[in-house]
Amino acid sequence: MSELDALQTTLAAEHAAVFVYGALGGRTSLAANPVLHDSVSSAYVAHRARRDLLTRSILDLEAEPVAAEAAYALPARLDSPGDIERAALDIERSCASTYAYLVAHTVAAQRRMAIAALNEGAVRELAFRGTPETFPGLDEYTDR
Amino acid sequence: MPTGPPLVARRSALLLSAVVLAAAGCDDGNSPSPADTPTGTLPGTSTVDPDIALVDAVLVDLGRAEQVATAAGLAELAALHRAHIEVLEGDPPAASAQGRRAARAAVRREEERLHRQLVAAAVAAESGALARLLASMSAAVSQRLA
Repeated sequence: MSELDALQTTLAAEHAAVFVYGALGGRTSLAANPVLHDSVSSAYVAHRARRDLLTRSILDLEAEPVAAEAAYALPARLDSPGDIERAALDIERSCASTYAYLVAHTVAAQRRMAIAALNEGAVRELAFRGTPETFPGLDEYTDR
Repeated sequence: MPTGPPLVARRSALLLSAVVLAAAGCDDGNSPSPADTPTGTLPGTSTVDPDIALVDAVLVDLGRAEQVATAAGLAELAALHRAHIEVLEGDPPAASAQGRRAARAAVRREEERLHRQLVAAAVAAESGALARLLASMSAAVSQRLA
């Protein structure tokens, strides 16, 4: 697995995150639930920025960034604030795993970027009723 | 979701890999004899895996953070650091006798310092698996600081 491959995998994950957060934003009411609306909006902006950063990184390697899919599967139930929080938490945990993977396959500035993204995502999990973990992003330690 | 590479970050594995390196090939006939080397070093180990020293330094930081958290009565935070130490196969630190109130005041400062150290160690790690582990530890500390 090359650094470029790992960057492409992470970009694909961010494409999905941006899509799903866009859908979550459309189902979150600013008036009825301003805190959740703000959390979802902030997460959307953060993932879009990471997506753009990854795209530039791949272009800098003179490669073609992987394109977004036309659509991504959404969770079956997005009817309540709890459903929205669970979906957002799933996105963040999935992205944390992907960034941890990117850390392992990069060095120097790219690795620093991946570490920062992992840290930011781990903190964002808490806004969606995530509980602090012992090893964020490391699926093999989820039972700890 | 991609699966990470096998975790080879344990200190014993790092030490083993260093010894294997030393035994496998690094003797070009010009290496100094054991008698010429300083006590405690192996012939041909001038390129010993730098991750060993990195892990040792991180263990010192984790041990100090665990002491500060324990002294402050923050058992959950201390348990986090203990879990991280165990994964890195460190030795348990000695208990601290600091006053709880003073210790609590030091916790955030200590956690911020530990976070910086973990990020720096993750960037510096030669092993991608070790970098991934250290980065995850830094993220766990970020969650507690949030």
